[in-house]
Amino acid sequence: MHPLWPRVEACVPQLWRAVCGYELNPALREELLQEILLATWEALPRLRDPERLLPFVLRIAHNLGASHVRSAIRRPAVLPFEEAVHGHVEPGTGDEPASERSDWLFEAMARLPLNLRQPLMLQLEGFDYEEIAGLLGISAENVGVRVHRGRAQLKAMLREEGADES
Amino acid sequence: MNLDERMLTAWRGQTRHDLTLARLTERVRRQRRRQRFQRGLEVALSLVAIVIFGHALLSGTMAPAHWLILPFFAVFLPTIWALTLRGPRRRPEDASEAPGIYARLRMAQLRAGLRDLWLARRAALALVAYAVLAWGGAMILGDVGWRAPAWLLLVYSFLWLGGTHWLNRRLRGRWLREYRSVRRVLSGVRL
Repeated sequence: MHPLWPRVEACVPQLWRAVCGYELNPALREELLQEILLATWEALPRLRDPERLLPFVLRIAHNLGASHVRSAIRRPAVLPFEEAVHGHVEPGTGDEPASERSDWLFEAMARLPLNLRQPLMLQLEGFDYEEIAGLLGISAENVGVRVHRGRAQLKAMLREEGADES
Repeated sequence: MNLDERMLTAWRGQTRHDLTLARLTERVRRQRRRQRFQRGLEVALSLVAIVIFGHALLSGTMAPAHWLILPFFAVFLPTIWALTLRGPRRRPEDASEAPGIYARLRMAQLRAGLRDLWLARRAALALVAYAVLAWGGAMILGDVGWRAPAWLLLVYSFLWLGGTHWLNRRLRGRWLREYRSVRRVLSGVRL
């Protein structure tokens, strides 16, 4: 076992959110997570700066997540809404469980094209434009443009669905 | 609450508390064991075929079944292994590369995978053609000692064709979609 492997546990929340940003189906999420964990295990000897563990792990997650989305069918599979399981989702009220408050965002994210989704996910994770640019191999200006477009599309989707506050 | 705050709340609200280090390690080790088993099985099957045919050839105890299956293995095994060893396999650690480099690696892997699938389809069809010819020959010219293994070869060849067709349907569409998508991305990306 690589000495840095125990520290990967601290990156699990970020890893899981990245997985959720690429896949809505719970079973496929597990598969993708498994793939990312294996790749992280194998790739750890390549990490030169241990302080860069989180960006390193997230780069793996985003590369594999992008592959996952590209190999999937064009439109995300529509899962039947089971009211008994999910309850009534109305984002923003603050009274529903945390998982339900999250669902609307990940469902909207799944409809964004990859080039807009990736920078937005990394921004939500707390990375600045320069770091996102380094992770995705694009310029910081490009990151800004993509984040702006991604947010605009998300906002439009929410407005369409009547979930936006305005 | 504005959009930024709502997005952030929703994003941070997606959590997993059941993934401890012990569980992560166990999951990874289980998958590595499975991969090693698969590779071991490939090697073992090849070795068994070589040992069976080598022994029968060297000891002069070649039965009709050996003669019927030998030509297929003589072509099939070297071809499959040459492709397996030559083609770029999907290495999990490649995903740690920069996205542009990873995309190029992935494209090479997908191209190799699609070529392997094509070859597997052709090999399965060739096996069926060979089995039909061998069966016809055994029915016309052979005795009972030749006919029983010829039937067996015929049945196995169709089972193999069915299995290959199933695998092809399962993988080819996904790989082709990803290949085309990566190619589109690379044509617009400057590394």
